[in-house]
Amino acid sequence: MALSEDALYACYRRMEKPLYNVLYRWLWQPQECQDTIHDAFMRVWEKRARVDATRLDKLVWTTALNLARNRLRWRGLWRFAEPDEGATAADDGPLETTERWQSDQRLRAALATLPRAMRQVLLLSEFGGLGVAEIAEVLGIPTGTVGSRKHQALARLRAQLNEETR
Amino acid sequence: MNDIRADDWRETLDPPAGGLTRLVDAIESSRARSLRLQPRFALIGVGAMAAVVAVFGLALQIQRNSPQHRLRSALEAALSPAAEDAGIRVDNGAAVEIPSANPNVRMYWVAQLPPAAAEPARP
Repeated sequence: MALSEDALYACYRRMEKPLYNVLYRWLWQPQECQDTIHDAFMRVWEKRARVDATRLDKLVWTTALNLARNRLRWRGLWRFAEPDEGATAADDGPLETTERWQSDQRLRAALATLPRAMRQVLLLSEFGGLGVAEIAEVLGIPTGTVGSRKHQALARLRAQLNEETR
Repeated sequence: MNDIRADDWRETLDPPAGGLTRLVDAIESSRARSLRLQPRFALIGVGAMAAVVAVFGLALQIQRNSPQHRLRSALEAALSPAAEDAGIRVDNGAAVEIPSANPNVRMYWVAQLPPAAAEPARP
């Protein structure tokens, strides 16, 4: 059954926040995150005739993660167009902006020490709110692998953050 | 170990406002664009088909008017047995119909074999 417009908008309302939180910890640019989410939903809409509405969430996650990966690849090619390191998630005041920037930098540095596979699982579970089975489906890996990667990633991230705050 | 501090990273952020409005606008404008383009695509299709037919017809016409084709037609007409009520019958020779501008006038190029060739001398 083809995807209806209402189902797409309902999905957007449901998934915008978790998607944004995952993508922000990957791209670290609010506008780029919003653009990626928008592009992902447009891609899904273009394929609406072939989209199974029961698997919509998975398709949106997969599409958004692929688009984010492409954006990071482009950044690698266009190194001179480095993202604004000071970009923050919201239009906060100066104090909040500074605090956000500091906490972003701390988390960004800690996440950067994790292998990519572990980082993906961690982001989807902690910021995307996905369960082990859902992550396994989105990433196409066994649930046991998701569990072990998540456990290791959390332990390493905590250790890294504690080291920095000491 | 400061656990409260260490778990600060789990903070949930709110996405910038206006994402859904942007998506709705984009979908509506893409729908309007496709509706606008449909008649154009139909016109382009009809135009392309007419062009193909015209090119094919022109090629056929050129081929029909070519001297080779006319010669071949004339030879075929000459070699094929003439119907009783059409064309002319030439004994001991051949006739080739030559195209005529006037439909009421038929022209033939007639050649007759010399008598010696027609009836070889018997010993």
